[in-house]
Amino acid sequence: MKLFPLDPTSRTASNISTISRKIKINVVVQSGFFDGIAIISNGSPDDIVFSILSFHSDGKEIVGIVKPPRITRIAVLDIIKTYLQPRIKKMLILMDQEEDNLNDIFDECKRRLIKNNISITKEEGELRLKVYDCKYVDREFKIILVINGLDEINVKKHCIEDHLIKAACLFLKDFKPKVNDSKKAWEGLGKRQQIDILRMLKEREKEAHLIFSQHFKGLEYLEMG
Amino acid sequence: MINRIKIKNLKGIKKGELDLFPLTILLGSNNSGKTTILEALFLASNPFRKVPYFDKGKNLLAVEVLQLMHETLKAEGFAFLLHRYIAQEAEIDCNVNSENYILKFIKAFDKPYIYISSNRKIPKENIDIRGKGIVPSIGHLSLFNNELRAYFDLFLVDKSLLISPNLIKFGYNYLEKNWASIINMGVCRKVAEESSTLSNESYKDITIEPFLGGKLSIYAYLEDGTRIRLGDLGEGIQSYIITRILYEVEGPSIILWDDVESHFNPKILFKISNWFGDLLDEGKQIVLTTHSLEAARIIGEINEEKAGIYLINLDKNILKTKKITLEEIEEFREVGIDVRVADSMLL
Repeated sequence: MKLFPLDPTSRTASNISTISRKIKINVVVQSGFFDGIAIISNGSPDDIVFSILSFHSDGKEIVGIVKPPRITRIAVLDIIKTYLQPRIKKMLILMDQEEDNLNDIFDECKRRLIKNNISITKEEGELRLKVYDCKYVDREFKIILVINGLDEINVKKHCIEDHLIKAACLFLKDFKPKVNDSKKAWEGLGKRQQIDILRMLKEREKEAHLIFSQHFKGLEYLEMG
Repeated sequence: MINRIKIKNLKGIKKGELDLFPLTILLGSNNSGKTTILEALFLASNPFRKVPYFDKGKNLLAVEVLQLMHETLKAEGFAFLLHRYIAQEAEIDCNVNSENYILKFIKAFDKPYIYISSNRKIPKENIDIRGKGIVPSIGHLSLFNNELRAYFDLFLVDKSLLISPNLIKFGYNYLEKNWASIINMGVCRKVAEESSTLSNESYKDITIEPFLGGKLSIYAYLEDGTRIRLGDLGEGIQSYIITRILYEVEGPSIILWDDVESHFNPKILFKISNWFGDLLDEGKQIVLTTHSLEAARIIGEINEEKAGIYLINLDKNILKTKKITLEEIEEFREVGIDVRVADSMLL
């Protein structure tokens, strides 16, 4: 899957471009038409991870990618109507679980969609993935909600770093996170080790699928015609 | 005023149409058809009219200006006007006061020419083109070299002036060659004084005089009596001065400005937008292209009632357009979308 940054001057565009060069994943495009958007609600390193996962999602489909400035997590649901242009049929929203109960997150998502006059006609999914078939006036589209977090990582706030820490445990010898906070544990690794882990995520697709299972399933929905 | 333009098989645009406003701002990616729209409007007045640009020892005709802008190595001829160089006919259709002014570029099968035809009741020469019959023509262009011939000199729609960073040097040449008549028009002092607000120097007049070594050069005269060559001023101020003089000389009803932000910092853009405001008040029409949201905002805000901003792109050579307001541009920016690059999603 190829990523089309909706603002090439944004931090997200720059992060994706930098990681693409560093670990040689050719995922960025700046032309072409697309009907799906990935909304990275928590910024970085989510955008970096998403670009590696896109690299594994084989195929030439183009997806727009954006980090809404100044808005995070569930609040992006209040602005999705602006992304809902005639071509757009699918929106993947990637967000951190943090301390919230998953059912509370999904309930809040539904509440916000209804508040914005978006009705849900069908719902499916699993633990940290929900796919809503939605309707707004006469427009039909899918919202794919992917929640970052892993139960096996024993932290208070679940986020994308849970997955990166799992990757570090798998790829680095003798790595034992010393803090009960995956963000801090990831930051504690240092830039070089972080890049090594990201590179291994690129090279070891099978492990990447195990570590980011809800993300890959979400990507499949995003790529579906 | 031209209310609407339709284009068929002209340069990169296979088909497209656009409503025009007193002030039309075209935003889009590179290669999105913006310049072709300006060029179509420029040709619409009459491809064979003389325009204030000079090169290769002569005052240029409108169609020759386009030829120069697109000159690639030593290639000659006007086939570049036809879509993919092979279209049999190209068409520019301008709607003015509910009437359509159609200009056709017809490639002959049996002659190496493109014949220009118009639907207006004007003098024309009847040309017999194999497969097309008798075509009433106002002139022809060679496909393979720079030969052209105008049978009649007239205006089909309002006269327009095309301004582009690529044309400034030909504007300079025009000023040099036509200085005697320009100086008598008394426009240089006015332009010099207006340009003073753009820099920390106070210009009093613009003249042509011999430079060191005796060759002619264009100067801005400063208040203290010293002078400075125009070429030694910043590019933005040069462009502004040349454009303003060419405008005064030509007196067009329509200004077509390609890449309006080129070389200009916001101070000059602000000055230009104020000038545009005056032109709109005088009933002139302005169509411009830009890659800069800042330029679109500064210029668009000068008279929002008369302004129309378009996002444009080409999809398989078909022109796609979306009229967009400054508020919408801001709304998209707020959610992380740059309309200049996300046109493939918005159109």
